[in-house]
Amino acid sequence: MIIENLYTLSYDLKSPLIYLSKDNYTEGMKVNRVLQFSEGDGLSKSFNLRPLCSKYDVNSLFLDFYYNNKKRNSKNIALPNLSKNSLINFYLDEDINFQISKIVNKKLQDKDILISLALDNDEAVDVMQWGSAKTMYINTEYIEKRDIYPLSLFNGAEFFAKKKVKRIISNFANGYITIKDKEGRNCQNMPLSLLMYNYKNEEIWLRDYEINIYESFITFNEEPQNFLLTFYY
Amino acid sequence: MSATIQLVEHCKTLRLKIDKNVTYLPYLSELNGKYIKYIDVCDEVTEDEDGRQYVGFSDDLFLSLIEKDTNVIKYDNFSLENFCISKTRQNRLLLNFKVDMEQSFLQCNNTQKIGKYIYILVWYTDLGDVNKVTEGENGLYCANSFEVQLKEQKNFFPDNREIFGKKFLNFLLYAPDPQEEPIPPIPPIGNGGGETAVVSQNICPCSYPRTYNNNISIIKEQSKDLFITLVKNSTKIFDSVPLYLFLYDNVYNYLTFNKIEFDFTLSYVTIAKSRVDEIKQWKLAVMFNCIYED
Repeated sequence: MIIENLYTLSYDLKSPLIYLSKDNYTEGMKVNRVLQFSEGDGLSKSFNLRPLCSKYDVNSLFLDFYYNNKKRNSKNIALPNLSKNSLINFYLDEDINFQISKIVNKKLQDKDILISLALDNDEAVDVMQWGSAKTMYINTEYIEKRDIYPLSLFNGAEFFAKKKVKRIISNFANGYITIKDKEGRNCQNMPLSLLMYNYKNEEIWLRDYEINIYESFITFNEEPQNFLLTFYY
Repeated sequence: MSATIQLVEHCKTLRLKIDKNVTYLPYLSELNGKYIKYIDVCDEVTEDEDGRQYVGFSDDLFLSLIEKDTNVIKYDNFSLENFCISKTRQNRLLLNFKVDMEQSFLQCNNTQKIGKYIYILVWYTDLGDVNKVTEGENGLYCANSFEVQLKEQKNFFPDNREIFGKKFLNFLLYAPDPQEEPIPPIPPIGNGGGETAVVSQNICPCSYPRTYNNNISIIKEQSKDLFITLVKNSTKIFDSVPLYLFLYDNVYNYLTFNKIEFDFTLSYVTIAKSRVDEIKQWKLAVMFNCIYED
């Protein structure tokens, strides 16, 4: 999967509906994959600090997508199926509603689910040619504890700021990374589990990201002991 | 590598009996003049609707495929392992040529397998070199669901008007693992007189997940005992394809249907022979999410 931009939504199962406002997004951008994350992906909390559904909870959730003023709706999508294939695709300048259409287990209303919208601009560019890979060791032990760790805090980040990054691999799943590039593209609150090597047998690639290390950051659900990010460029 | 599109239109099942060390493939009229795109060996299928028993994964079987009209040996003693789904994880080898079935053969180097069957799927198209779905007006798709209740060995699709006549791009099976182990059966109790107490087999799928319509869903393991057949104009366009192929769990690639249309209420799901009573007893249902053209 090639990601141009990615937006993650934390969905509170108490609310019946989530509305995706078109104002925040660039016209013409197309969501080609909608991904879903649970505790089973190595995450323990959503980025709102609420507990996440487990991979078993997710089995009893079904999702509807409504396109306002249009007939084309997608219905009754089993959440375990959501991340597989391009089950749902749409243009972000449409008005979209998501709705969890059915929750059988009332206890789930205290939990969140995470949905990520992966966008590209439809250009069929082969990004999978890379020259080098280098690992950055992120040691949070000697840094003042904080909620958000900008990438600029870590040794080696300056090196990657000058490169066109095609892929990032993480060895730790329980957190989120926001990456902004100098052209204005961004991956917001991307679960680190998506960057684990061979995530669900899929390779995740970025399209030549020139990372703004001051505006890109990581948040952890728990402090990792040995956290490595490997950059392909 | 990024996954290439595996575009399919028709599937014929070959239940090949290993007769001897060299077994020639049978003539199949449906494949006459057609381009074979992919071959799958469903090595996780153990039994079919008629009770035939199948060998599992095999690294001692070799397939030779001869091209029709040219007699060129395209694949010479090619290990069947390269077609086994448990190994390929649906990242299929593209064949894309017309196979002379009667000249092609399977070589078996293990006499213990003689007399047993292999479950082979042959994916084919009318035309060669079809590798991209023809995009619709806006390239946008819809998703929906349908459920098939398993009441008999052969169970027809429901009368779902919302998705009648659609052009389908894929089915995704809903068959999660159960949250807890089902309650195991209580073994019979024997006494000194040789009598046994009759106890009920208290296997309760109450821990099984529920479908959208609140039916008890099949679980992942059962998807290997169920088969889907899609019918169009009295012809089987997908013939007894094992359901687990549509689970797409832990796979490297997946199928894409080339906007196939079929007769919805004439299509059906069948159950492996020895599993029929068990599945009927629990009144299970199979739920699919389906993707179709907007």
